[in-house]
Amino acid sequence: MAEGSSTEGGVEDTALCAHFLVALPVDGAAMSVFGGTVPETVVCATDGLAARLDELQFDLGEGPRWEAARTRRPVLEPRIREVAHPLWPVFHTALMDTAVEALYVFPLTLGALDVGIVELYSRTPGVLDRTDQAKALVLANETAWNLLDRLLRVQEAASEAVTPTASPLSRREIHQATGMVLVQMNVTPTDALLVLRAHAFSHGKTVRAIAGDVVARRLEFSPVD
Amino acid sequence: MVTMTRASLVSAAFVKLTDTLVGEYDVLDVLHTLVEECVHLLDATAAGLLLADPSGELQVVASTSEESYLVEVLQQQAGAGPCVDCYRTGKVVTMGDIASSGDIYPDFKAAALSQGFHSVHAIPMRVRHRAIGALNLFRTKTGDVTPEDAAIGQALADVATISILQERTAHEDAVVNEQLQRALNSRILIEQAKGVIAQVSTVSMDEAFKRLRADARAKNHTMHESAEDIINRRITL
Repeated sequence: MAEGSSTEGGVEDTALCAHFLVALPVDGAAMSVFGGTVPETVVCATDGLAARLDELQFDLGEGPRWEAARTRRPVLEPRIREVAHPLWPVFHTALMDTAVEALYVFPLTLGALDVGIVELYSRTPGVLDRTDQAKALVLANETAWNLLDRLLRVQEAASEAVTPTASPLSRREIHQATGMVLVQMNVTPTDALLVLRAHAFSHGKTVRAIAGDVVARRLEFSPVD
Repeated sequence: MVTMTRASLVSAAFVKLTDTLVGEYDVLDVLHTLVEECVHLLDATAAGLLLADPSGELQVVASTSEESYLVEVLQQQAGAGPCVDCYRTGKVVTMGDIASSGDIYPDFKAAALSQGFHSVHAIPMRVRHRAIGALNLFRTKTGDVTPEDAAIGQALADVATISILQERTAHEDAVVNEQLQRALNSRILIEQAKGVIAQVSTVSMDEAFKRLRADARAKNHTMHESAEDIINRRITL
């Protein structure tokens, strides 16, 4: 999975990970995107170890990436080898076989949406100071916008009657429709957006158009069993 | 007498705003109070505040009405219009007569006129060397704003900027960006919560926003916190 890229969700950009390496004194970065209930996809990894750390946690079902995803907050482990980690003992043991000294995991969230996760590692302990952490948060946020923007544009590009200048993010209806659909179907916000995207795709319409129909109450989704 | 009344109105507005900036406060609620005060103080019909998102595009974060007609006009000029010019140049942009503005911004012109707005005044929100967004004042009548109104408008825009950049450490660009993004992210959460309220209680988006804001105020929460409770279905409004 090193240098892994995928067309799932239309995301294929290893440069997304590279931004973190340019801006921050870390040695590697890996990023995964959540597509809702479908299995998540590794978008990029800057090296084999970064990819391995992500994969390991995914396979074990434990580690800071899960904690960050669950709490929707960054998990900062500047001295990961020194402290015991009762929440992820197996992953911690596995880490001891690597050169990793510090792990910083940032959830990629937008409002109530869980877009994905980015994991940064370093072979030197305690590398991120407060300013670096603020920078990492900004980068994580930019990345979340960027990823969602692309996800929403997949359908825009495929359908007609596009207004290419306006970012789909500037369309409040998409976020409002996400809120309505999560109630209609009793699903998470992330899944609700996925439903909107899937519906748009299968009907050859933009997400914005589908969102407009939902907000105007012309379209309603049924609960899932 | 008129100027006395005016002066006391202005000082009352600033007292009200600065009072809200003490201790923990809700940035989005402050920004909403601010656009409402703008309309009262500056004889405007409607007002809206836009912030630059991570891609540099302007997003509406507060407006005197949540109705789509106003949000659409505001958002329209995020592509091309006085607001984006104001943000890019960091300078005030005034259009005293939108109807006779020629073809510089045809889409904005059509959108503004269709809602009865005939003049607009865009004020930059500045942090030292850069602008982070702009405050827009719309009027149904034509004409430029008076120098006094322009000064009050700029002072209100500065209060908005200060309210967003809460920490004194905001001299670092990374911290400025973080706080700017926090406000934008809260706005997305609020839109999602509006959708939940609209669906659960079969009300309009404007009414959904009013209920959200009222809940936050009643519980002394931020709108962000109330929105989270609504989306997680812990409360129903």
